[in-house]
Amino acid sequence: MFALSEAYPDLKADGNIQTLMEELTSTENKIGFARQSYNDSVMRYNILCEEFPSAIIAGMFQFKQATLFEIENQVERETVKVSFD
Amino acid sequence: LNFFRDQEIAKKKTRKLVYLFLVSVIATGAVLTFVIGIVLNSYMQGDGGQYQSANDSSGALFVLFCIICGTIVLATLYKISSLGKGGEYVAELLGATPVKRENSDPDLKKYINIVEEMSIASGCPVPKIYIMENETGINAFAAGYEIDDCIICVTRGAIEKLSRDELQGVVAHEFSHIFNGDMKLSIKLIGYLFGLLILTQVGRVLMHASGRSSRRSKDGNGIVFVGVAFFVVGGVGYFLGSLIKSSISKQREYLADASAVQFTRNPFGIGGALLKINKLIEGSTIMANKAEEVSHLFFGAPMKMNFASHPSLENRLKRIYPNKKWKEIEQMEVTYPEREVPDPQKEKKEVNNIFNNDALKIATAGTVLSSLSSRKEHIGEITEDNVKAAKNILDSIPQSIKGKIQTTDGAKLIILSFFNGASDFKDSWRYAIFEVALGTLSELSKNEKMELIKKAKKLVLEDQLITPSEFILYYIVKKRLLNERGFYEKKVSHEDAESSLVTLVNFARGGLNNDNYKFKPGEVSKALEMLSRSSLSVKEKALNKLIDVVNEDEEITVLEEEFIRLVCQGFRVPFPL
Repeated sequence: MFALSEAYPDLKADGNIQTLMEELTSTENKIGFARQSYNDSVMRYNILCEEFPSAIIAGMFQFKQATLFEIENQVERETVKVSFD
Repeated sequence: LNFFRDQEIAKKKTRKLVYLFLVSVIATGAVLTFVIGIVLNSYMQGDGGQYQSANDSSGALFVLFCIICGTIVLATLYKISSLGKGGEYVAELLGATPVKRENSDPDLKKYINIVEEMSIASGCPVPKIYIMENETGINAFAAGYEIDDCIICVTRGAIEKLSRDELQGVVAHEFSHIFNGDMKLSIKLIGYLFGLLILTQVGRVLMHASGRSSRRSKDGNGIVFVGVAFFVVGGVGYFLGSLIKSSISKQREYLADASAVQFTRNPFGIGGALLKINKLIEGSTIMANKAEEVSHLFFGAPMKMNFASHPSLENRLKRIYPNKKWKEIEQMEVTYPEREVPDPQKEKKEVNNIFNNDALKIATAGTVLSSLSSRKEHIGEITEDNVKAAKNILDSIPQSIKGKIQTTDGAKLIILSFFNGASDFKDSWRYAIFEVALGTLSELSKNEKMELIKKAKKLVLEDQLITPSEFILYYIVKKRLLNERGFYEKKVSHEDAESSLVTLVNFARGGLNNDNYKFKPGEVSKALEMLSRSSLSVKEKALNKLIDVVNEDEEITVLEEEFIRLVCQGFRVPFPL
């Protein structure tokens, strides 16, 4: 998509394409930020589980460590391709 | 991870400072009690007060301490309640305008998207989005007492001068303030400071009062000392409190910067924004008058000489780029986004598009509830002719006027020109211009609307005489802009409806052909109000009757048409073209 607009400079100036690019960027960001926010929370939670004094409570009620959200599948990791066929 | 550590440090420091602050407030009360106790004690002993036992005086001191602390707490609560009015109040105060969530402006769309992204990254609900259109400096603020009634606002300058990443950094910084509850904290601190300030005021009052009474008797001496004690101790407490408050505020800024890096995972976003503020002459300056009152809310210091609430840009940048020296940071390149020069041809096309829409709107107005309309031959569907006629009218309006009524400022002028008689539009344009201008003005905030209506009222009352045409115009504007409707509308009795109709018929007969007709505006508007609340069949009968009255002389003047339009407006019934 971005390569396409590089190849055709006129495309870049077009309002619709700009809107589309903005929407694509934003959507990708939103997915990324959601993942990041989840992982940050997991990290905070895990640290609290190990740290004094909250660790006492965690130990008493047997809180388990949470797992981070990770993508193993290579295909899912790639950025979305957009084509105009 | 460096930014998590930074946040931890900033949070710990604020916690310490807040304790220090509370201790200093209580200490002020304690010291004050102690000083007053000494003063009173020595005064009483000088008076030969040997009957005072030690037990008594310590009890009295305790009561005094409670009274002083009570005063501080009461003043604090008062100030907090007056400040905790929510974010929209602050936004209106600073002249910010709300941004619609569905927006076709690419810049605003970008801004809205960024706000949504950051709300995901920080896990806060999406706040109400505002923009300060007239500010060219780079700045932003968040306001609101609770996390779910917050607002976020940036300046036009920030949107235009910052790249997407930088704007994201700025918005992330504001989200951190929302996330960490900084607004709540600073409102509380301001409240306590106000409590201490009240002590100095009490002292001043006591000094004045005793100054007067001491001329008459010597009893006033003790009160003078008490007054001085209040003033001095309160003043010192206030000064220390302000110092602590400003360092808390600075810590919160560091915390917000570090959180911005956490949310965006991109130090160059917020770093670039701060650098641009540093490099540009306008920097983060805010022009709005009231900005100083809420300077603690802003992203960058809104005044050039304001270091009380914000750390210097140098220190903030050094923390964001911990591995770089200030010299290196200063020399980092900043790039400004390219801005398209607006294409006049394209703009013209857009304006025309908007006008086609308006033509359609005006034409459609005639279709619904058409059995009420007088033009019985035009009733029913929107015909091609209807749209064409409306479009023709709109097309015939010169471009210069069209451009004006699309902006709120221009529309205001046009509406007012109808009142002072300066408008000399062709009759066929009058309604179209009026209608489109009112449509534009519906975007205004409530305060702005009220102001416009007030101005119109002033113009109407200027010549001490309300003519029927002025009355009709004013009433339409008021009705359209305010769109008031009660929760519960009382049913109108048959007799009331009947008598209201008589009033209107009389007004239509007498007033519409004679500009000097004497009538009571209150009565006519009350009659309109009455009828608008009656049932649909009554409205239909009334409208038909009025149309017949207007039609009696087989000719419909502009004023008559406007009158019928007003009635339709009052009845919430569309009127055909």
